[in-house]
Amino acid sequence: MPQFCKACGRCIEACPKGCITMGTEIEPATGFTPVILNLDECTACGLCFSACPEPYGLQPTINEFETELFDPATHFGPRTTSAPTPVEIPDQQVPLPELEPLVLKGNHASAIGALLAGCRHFFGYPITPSTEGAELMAKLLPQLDGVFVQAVSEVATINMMYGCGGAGQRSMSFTSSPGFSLMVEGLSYMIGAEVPGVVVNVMRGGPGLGNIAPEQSDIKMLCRGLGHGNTHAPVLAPSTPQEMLDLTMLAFDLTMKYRNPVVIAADGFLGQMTGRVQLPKTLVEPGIPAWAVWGDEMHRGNLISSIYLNEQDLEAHNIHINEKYERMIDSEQRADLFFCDDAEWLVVACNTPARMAKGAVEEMRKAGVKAGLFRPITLWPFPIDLLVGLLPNAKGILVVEAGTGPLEDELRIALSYADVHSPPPITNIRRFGGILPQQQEIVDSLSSLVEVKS
Amino acid sequence: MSKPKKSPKKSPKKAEKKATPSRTEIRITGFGGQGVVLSGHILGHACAIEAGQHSTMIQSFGPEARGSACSATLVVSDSEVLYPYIHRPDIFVVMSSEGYDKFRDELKDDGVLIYESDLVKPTLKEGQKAFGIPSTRIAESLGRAIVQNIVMVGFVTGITDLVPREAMREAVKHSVPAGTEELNLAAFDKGLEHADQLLRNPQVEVPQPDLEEVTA
Repeated sequence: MPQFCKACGRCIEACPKGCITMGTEIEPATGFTPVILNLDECTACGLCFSACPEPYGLQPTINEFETELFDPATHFGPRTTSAPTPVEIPDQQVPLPELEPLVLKGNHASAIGALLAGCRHFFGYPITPSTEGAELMAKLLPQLDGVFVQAVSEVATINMMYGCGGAGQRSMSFTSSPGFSLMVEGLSYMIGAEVPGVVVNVMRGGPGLGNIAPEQSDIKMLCRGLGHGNTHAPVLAPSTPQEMLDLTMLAFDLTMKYRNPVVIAADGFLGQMTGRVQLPKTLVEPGIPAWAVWGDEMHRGNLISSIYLNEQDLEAHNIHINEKYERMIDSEQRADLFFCDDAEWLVVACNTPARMAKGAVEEMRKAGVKAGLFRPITLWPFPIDLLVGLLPNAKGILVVEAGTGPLEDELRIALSYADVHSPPPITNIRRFGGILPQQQEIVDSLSSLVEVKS
Repeated sequence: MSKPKKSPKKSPKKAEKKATPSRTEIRITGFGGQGVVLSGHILGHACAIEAGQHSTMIQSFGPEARGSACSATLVVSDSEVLYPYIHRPDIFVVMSSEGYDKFRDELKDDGVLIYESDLVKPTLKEGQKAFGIPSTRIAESLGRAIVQNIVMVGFVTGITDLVPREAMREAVKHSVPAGTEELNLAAFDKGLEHADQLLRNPQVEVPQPDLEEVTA
């Protein structure tokens, strides 16, 4: 270095520790008096490097530094805090007076469900056909001492939910397919950091901007591609305005229970459909979980993070997350079985197409055909345990979708993992682009199946 | 029972319970902003809550809900409504001619057309019935053109007898903004009154549209 130093003295001024002094000996190569470094006090702040104008002047000598990241505990001992151990403040169930039913559209029903489940924080960005949910939240939350933020984008939205969930609070957002795409990065962070939150995805036609008509376009993304890494979240599929409310309340239960985001997969039709909705018997007054980063002394020791730089730590974390997924698969499978007990012809459908399928099954039953509707309520975990019991009777499965086949994929994956290697023949009706399968189509399809078999 | 009842004497609730499941499809259309969706909501509320039937409503939710030919579709049934789309409405309520042009061909061959007679000039197929009301003018005579849709709701109630009148009155009361109940109920009654007059004396009040204008 001395042969490149022109003794300008800029580094002497820059060093906060006074490690550098002007030299007195003349360097023969240059005729300057290079600076003298005394590194006893050096903290490797690097300010002298930036101050030095010479390209080959002061530079970090990398080999001499310890660049391995290390756990501070190895140097400083275990983290100590005077904070008391956090105590969980449990949720309260408050009875609601018996109310007469309301006439609500799906998005509104879901928003009310969220409020009754104790959600007081909403972050969102408007997108048709989900906007009415956010609109109602904007109206009601300020009156309930809550927070409504219209974020700059869905990316901001989901990261606000990450923060809010980290504080142990119930937060939610309404969005639709293109907006949900933007959220998946944040969802992966939330899953990694084990932060709760509920996103209602009122699915619309895709790909790209698509249109605003109902399509079950995101089932694949919701079940298989919820962000990078080892990510899953319970996916609930309502099919009536009443279920929009009930499943939103359930979603908040699950998200707090598992410390994992939960997604509600509605379709555009359901978000907009107005129907009768009965309010529940109790509402939830939220408490504060012990793990929350709540900002007071008691919770000072808590940390919310999804970063595990050490390979062993990250593997252990993923094992823990996988155990959680296993628990969800064991205990959260839900489905609605309609005339399934003795069904020879099983129709599998969810969301709005399940309504048409139900009508078709009723029609087939009247015609003497043993048809049944298997309606998954949880798309992930797929309710395979309930389905497997029905298979011995089944002569055929008809999957009815307003989409290009992701529900059938879920069904087939689930069958494969359940070691059902020769299921009854699976056929499908798929409409997309915002067109819903018609009841008559389903009836015709079932009739032709029955005919071929007999 | 796919056709709405004409007789105002019978109680539709009791009469229909015995019969096979009924399904009545209704389309309401007009300009976005005319109160199309609220009208649908009130009809649905009356059926689902006050009259103990089932109903679902779907409305326009795209840009048309903010000004162009907006529409609300309603399915009323005495059993659960599974299929929420409508194909051939039994009752077609029209408040603008653009809406009429957009949806006119859907109306069932024996369906009922109810229209704003100052704004819509309908042509009918044989077997279809039409009832017009100058609802905007009536609303203006009450002081607020904005209650035009409630006048129309009253008129629809009187003409179709889809749900008992009291049920519909309750639904109106529940659905309008607080403080405007009196005005809206007055508008509702005006609509009903007009329907009664028209049913008593159809020839005099509003001439039936000319059947010769039927388009094939």
